[in-house]
Amino acid sequence: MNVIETKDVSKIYNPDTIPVYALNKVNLNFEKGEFTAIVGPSGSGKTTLLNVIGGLDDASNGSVMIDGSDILKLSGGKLIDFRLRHIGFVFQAYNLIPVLSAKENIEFIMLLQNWPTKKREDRTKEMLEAVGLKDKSGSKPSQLSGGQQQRVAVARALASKPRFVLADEPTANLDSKSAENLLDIMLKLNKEEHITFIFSTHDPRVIKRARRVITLEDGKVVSDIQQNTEQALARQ
Amino acid sequence: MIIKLSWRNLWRNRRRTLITVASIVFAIILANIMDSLLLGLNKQMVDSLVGVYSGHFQIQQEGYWEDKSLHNSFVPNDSLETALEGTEGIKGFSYRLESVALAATNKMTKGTLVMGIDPDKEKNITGFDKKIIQGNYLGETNNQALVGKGLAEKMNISVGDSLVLVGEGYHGASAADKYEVSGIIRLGSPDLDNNIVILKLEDAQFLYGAYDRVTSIPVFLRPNQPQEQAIANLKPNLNTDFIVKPWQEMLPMLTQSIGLIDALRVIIVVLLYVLISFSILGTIIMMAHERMTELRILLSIGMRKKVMQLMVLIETFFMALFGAVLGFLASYPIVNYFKVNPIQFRGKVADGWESFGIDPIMPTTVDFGVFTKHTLIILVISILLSIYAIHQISSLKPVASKK
Repeated sequence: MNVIETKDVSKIYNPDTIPVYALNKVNLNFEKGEFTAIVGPSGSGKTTLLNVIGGLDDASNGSVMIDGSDILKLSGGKLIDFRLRHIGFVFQAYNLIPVLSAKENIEFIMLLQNWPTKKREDRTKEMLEAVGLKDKSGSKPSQLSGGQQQRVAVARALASKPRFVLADEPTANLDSKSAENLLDIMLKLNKEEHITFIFSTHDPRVIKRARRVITLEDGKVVSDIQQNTEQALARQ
Repeated sequence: MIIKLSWRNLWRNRRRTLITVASIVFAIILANIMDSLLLGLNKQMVDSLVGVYSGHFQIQQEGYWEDKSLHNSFVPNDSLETALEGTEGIKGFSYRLESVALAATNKMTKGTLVMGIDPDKEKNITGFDKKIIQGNYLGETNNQALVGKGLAEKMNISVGDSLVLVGEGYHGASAADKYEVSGIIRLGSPDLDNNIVILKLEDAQFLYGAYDRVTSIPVFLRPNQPQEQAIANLKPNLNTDFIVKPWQEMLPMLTQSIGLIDALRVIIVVLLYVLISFSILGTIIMMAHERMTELRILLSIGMRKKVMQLMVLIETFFMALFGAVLGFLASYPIVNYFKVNPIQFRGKVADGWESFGIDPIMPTTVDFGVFTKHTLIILVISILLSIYAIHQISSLKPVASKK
């Protein structure tokens, strides 16, 4: 079952002068529970694609259907609500709220969604355990390492059980050990929670562990490969 | 959560917040001191002139103010006295008969203002007895006179001297009598001190042949008693022949001076608020700009702009409230100190004040209404200034995820 379907999505800069195609008629389907890496050289359109799918940026043409509705036609408060209810975001620079503790950061989206207190607290504990930061629940982002902050960001993105998580180069700022650790957690949560993960990356280790790898070049999909991660890991 | 977030955001840059809070505190303290001092000055002027001479208002016969002649005098009746005694807020009242006469000693004659007073009543409400600088206050004996300090100096009159008053009495009767100067009085007002001769009411009535008559009943109010309210309470019980004359109409110069001080007060306070507004605005601009990326992240992950605007508004409100409350609390001991230990003028400045009949001191007025007013103004200014940040948020776009 498709969670996301992009139809002829294009993003064109300077359409009236010298058009630059950040995305050029991208047609992709994402199914529930996928663990997909979007790869490609810098400027290939990875981030733009994630932004358009996530409703953070407009497309010049096409549609992004999520559960049968085109999110490119949503605007203002409806789009913000859509993001809040259906999408989890993980940013390269973590982007946690600096004045809130790890626990409060994870709780934050559930609070915006008005979860009942008990349910919210239970879920926060569960996520802290899942990302291995139970003992850091009271720490502020400035007291956590980069890897720990990104784990909190993943927990925040997943806590409210979104339909899918978009992660833009989530391991880019992490050392290899932290990156591996984060990937383990993301894969575990992907399996346990059946949440679709779509992430952009340059990191070969991350690419090897993805079950599907989509390659973009000049805004076009040049390959879309399903891979056996067990074999890839064994090769590694 | 929003309140918690706002509170913590406020302390992200502790030093900047404290500097802004401190500037609010100092602005409120300065505004309160300035306001309290100038209000105190106004009160001092009113107390010095109104409280000693005119009263907060006077009961007069219709037409007396326009034509201050004995023909416009009246006989106070019991119902008038009952009405005055029954009116809430009145500290006391007195009866006076005022007219003019020529005062003569063996060497000099001079036009004077003659004021017949009830010595006992005046003692309680105007404290004339405390203003005697030589000799004694009016006693039981008739035909005693108090002479204003300036008049005594001009006519070279001393205590114990004889003084003859000659003038025109009620209905054109001739008026003449001789008095012994029992004391020299200094009321403070140069006009009065240079011209006044004070007699017992019955002596003045006898002099002018205006038996039982008075020209005015000065009424004095209790401290902090609203004048308008007392007049409104009294008026329905007054005969239509009488009018109530407030001091603002009887002492136009004083009214103008107070108006001038009030205008000055407003200008100073507005300047203070302009300065403090820039300080708060600077903080709001910095708070908004340094957090734009963060706010865009919040927008991206699903926080509505209205909630963000509320968060920023609460932050500003907290900061202003913190400063305003501290300013309010810090103002009280300072303002109260200057009430108990008023600023005292000496030398020529003091002489200048005294020449206008005002005691040369500048006490403050401790009025929590003033404190509350400035606290509320700061809060309103802060809320208005936070419109800048609210506007910035309204045009916010979600963050590009790579950033």
